[in-house]
Amino acid sequence: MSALSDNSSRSRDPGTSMTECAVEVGLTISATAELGTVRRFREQLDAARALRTLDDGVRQNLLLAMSEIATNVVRHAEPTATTLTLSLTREGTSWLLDLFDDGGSFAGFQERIENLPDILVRDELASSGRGLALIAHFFPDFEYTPASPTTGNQNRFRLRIPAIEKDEKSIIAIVDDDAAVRHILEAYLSDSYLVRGYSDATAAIREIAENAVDLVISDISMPGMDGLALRRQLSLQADTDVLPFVFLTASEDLALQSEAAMLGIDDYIVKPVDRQKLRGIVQRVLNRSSKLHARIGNRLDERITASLKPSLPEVIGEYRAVARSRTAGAGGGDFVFHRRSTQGHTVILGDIMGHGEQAKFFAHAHAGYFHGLMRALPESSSPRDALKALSIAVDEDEVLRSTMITCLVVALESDGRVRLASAGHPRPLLQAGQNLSYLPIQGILAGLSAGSDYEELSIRLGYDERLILYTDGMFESAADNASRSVLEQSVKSGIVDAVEQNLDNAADAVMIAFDRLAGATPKDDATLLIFERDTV
Amino acid sequence: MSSGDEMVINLGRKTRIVRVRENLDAVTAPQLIEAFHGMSTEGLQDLVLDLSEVRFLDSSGIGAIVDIFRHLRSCGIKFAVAGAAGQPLDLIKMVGLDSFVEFSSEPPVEVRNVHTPDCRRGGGSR
Repeated sequence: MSALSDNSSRSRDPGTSMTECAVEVGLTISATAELGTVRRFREQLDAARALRTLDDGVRQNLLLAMSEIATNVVRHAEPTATTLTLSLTREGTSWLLDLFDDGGSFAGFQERIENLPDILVRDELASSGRGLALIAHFFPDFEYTPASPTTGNQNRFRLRIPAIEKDEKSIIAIVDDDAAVRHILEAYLSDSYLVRGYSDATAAIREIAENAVDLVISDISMPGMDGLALRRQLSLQADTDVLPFVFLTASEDLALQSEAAMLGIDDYIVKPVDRQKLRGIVQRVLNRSSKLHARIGNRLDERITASLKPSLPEVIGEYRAVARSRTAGAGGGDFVFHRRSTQGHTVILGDIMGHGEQAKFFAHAHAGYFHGLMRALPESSSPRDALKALSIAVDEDEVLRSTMITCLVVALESDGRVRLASAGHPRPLLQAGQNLSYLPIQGILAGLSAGSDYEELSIRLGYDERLILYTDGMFESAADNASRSVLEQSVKSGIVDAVEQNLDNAADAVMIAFDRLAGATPKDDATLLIFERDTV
Repeated sequence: MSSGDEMVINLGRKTRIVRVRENLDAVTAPQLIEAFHGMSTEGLQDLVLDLSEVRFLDSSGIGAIVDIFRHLRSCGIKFAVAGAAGQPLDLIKMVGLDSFVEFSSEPPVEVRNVHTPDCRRGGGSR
């Protein structure tokens, strides 16, 4: 029998060190130490929700390494282990997989690790004894801690896996006609990157044109089109002309390297490939590339967005208002628009979605277009009228139709009367003292269907209440799902904690909480608008 | 072999195909070795290990394949591994097993459309 908990709230013994820093528990199982248990552990680990977001290759490597460790313990612990405990916990940006056992500790373990056999099986070598080599191959930083009070008097194997989600990994194309080299490179990189292997340059060009990659690592000497020709071809195409490129070469041939350097490559790697060197080069080249992209995005941003930076007057009719925003290096853009209406004032908060520098440029072009559209509306237009007009414009305009726009229109009228309509925008928050609640207003994205209509929500804002509008970047700018949840909670806590402060200070306090978690360059534009009734 | 891992042995005149299901790991590897060693005395010329239904392979499984390959070679029996895909294929290629054991990622042709319930026997059967 095994005791299993998946996504339980808090870890437990064995191993106090496990509970000291772990913040989230994915799985804890204990069972009799036997080979059948190893298989059950593997199946339960494979089914763990916590690991579903990981790349399939990384998950497979983890299952294999866990099996090898557990099999090793069951077979070789002296005295024999009676119980195995598997624990999966989240620590910061990593998952920790711990396997505890109560058998005898392995003596001289470190020495064994330093003298592991090659993972390659050869005819003349022994047919067994490769389990540890495989573990070290996939997880070179794995740890073994003999039983001690810090590990609950149990032996502990620990594997650390970066919690990088599938869609957040950089994609690396490896082009080499030698399948063994492709597999080794994939094994060296797959825990941190998505790796695509191609046996020839022509196939690589075709695939890269269809599915963009972030880096190409290519052998120079290949049958058919060689690596140099591949680089030339990619540099001729607009989408791939600045794609980072690293050559893989079997020789120290200076003439060849000089020819490669003339093609503007980022680096080269000499075979046989050293894992650490490879990872170092890949990381450096990708960092340089992303910094360059961010810089381009920032310049574009500075030049284009200065006039469109979300801002609001401090006083809008009977209301006080504050706007704060953060701009991502690339991606879509947020915009805020304010105008007088016959009933008071209208504020529009929009989020034009997209990824990459081009999206940034178009987002701002669209924001300008949108400003014109809103200005053309009669002053008597309600929030619902504004969204209907936007939806028709998006549906009829080819350029606007190519984008996704969420929008929230708010009419600020007399006596605290506020009317709202939403086109796919995150629900606004209403703060009353320490209470924070979502306003029940939603509607379909602009332009999704011809003749879209929108509901309006009417509320009366009390003098002790605040209306908070935001774009989804406020909660979505964190690195992964777990961090997003933390970011959302922190932003909400920031809002509640700042209830006694004036509007400016409250907005600053919220943005401090946001910056701390989203970093200097958030993944998406984030805008925060807060309104309260002016008591003066 | 335990449920889910049973070997299906397709009998031919001089060729036999052994199919493993689900897992080729520390539990099933010794049983597979025992089964193949047993078959090596039956006058067969070719033995094929079909991995097309194996979802997980570990170093014990790799070790078993190497052991079987050597044993059958010493008996003059031709041995091939066929049908691996996914994680088992990745591991086989990573450790270079395909460089000296006859290997095909396609399932053995003889098995594909053959339904021979009478020939199915449990693991370790001879």
